[in-house]
Amino acid sequence: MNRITRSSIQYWLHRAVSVGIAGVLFWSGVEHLKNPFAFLTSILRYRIIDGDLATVLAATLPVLQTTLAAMMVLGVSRRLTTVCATLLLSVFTAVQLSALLRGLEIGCGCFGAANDVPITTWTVSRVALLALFGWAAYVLDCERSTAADKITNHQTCSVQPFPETRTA
Amino acid sequence: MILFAYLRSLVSMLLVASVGMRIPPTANADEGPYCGIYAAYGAAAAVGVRGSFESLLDRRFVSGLSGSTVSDLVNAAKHLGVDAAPLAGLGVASLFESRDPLILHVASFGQLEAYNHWLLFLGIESGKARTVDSTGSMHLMNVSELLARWDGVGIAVFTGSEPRTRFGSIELVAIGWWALLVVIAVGVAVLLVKRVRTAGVRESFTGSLVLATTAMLLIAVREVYSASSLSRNPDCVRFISAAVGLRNLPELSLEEVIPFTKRQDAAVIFDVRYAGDMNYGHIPGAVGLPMNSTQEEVAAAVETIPRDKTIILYCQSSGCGFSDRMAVVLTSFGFTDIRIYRDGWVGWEEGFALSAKPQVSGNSQ
Repeated sequence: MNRITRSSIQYWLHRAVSVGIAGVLFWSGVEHLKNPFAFLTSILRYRIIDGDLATVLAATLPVLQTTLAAMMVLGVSRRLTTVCATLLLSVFTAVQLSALLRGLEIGCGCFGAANDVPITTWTVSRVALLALFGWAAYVLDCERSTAADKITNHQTCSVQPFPETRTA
Repeated sequence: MILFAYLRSLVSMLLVASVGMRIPPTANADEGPYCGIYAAYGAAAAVGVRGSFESLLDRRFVSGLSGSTVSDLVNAAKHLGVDAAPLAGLGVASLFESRDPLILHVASFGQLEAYNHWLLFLGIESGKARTVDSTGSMHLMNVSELLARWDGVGIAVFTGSEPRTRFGSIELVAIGWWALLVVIAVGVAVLLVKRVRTAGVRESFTGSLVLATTAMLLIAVREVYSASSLSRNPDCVRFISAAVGLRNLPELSLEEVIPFTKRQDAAVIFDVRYAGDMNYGHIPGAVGLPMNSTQEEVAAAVETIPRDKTIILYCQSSGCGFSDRMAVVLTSFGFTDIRIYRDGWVGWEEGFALSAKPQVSGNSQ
């Protein structure tokens, strides 16, 4: 009973963190979808990738962000989407840090042109903290599954995108 | 309905509250600090109120040498007898739906370094944006180019108690539709993947399939149906790449430029220095296209030139950046073969001074 209570707390903690991250991803994605050209400009200003690749990224990244957000909120492939979102946030942290270290005075391009702020240690810490929350959510989910598996004798920490699973 | 109304008012409130604080005084370096009051005057005229432009030449409406702030322009509009509402976070949907004149906070013509200009937007006509830039006449601009230069901040000018366009609702509905589309696409992808899923396949693989299928479905829908998608505006993408400085334009030496001056059908040579500078001499056959030309003047100058024609740009000397800026402008007009004679007029004079007198012609074409 005690284990189940702990497990349910972990579940709701995981859900809260997931929905929070999903909200940030969705807001960011939607702002970029409103004006993909401004987003392309933001990407190019980082001077990491060239025009063609940046164009592909500007067209796909906001869609991917909103899709991940929806899947996280709906609970589809819960663990996979948490990992993907966390990886995405880690990449954002890395590119911002790289721009900061190279001394580029550019906007972070995080939430569209209207909300743009210059890259500072604050913007880097902000996204790094989110990435950290993402990893925490993943660990919480893993721990919760392990505890539940011990009770039900199921497999531990496998990714389960659908409620029912078939076996060979 | 109550929830929707609440959300709408919340979004409107956030849009209005967030804008005033963050926008610094805005002016175009080439056109002086008056772009904002020109736009306010034009917007008032567009809703049928004619005031005195001279009365706007006041510190209350142009609060610094660097131009007008959002609140300066709101006050300017009120001074003219109309009302104005500052807005932020606007997107392409607001442009297409707007029934009120909007003063947009944009980057200057031909650059994307900073949002430092106010531009009057008067609606969409035949898929293009009707804009008025400072003292210029009305100009039809590609929506993609406007989006590339715009940061989503605008001031709606209207008569009566509130704008005719409900910008908060438009943005909220656009976001709502997208969210619904994403949820439907996820549902479709889950059903598709469930159908093809076979025994023994890892669950993480099927999850990835759902993610990839959903994203591809949405990208396809967006790229096919949205007029403002990147794939449907390659000129704009080229313009942005050039403006951010990632497109390396070929540079010509003096020896490489000389043949073009002899065979004038091979290329068009533009002198992009200020108009008066051409009187002191220019490269033979060069056409004056000063960097401070308006969009209409550039459009008129390049109207008859095929877009695949070789364009050569030069300015005063290698330290002058006008050629690069004009290259960005011409890229936005669809020119694809732009080259720069970096040494400019000084390089030309010095080059010829070593061997013979410079070939200076009296008049441009």
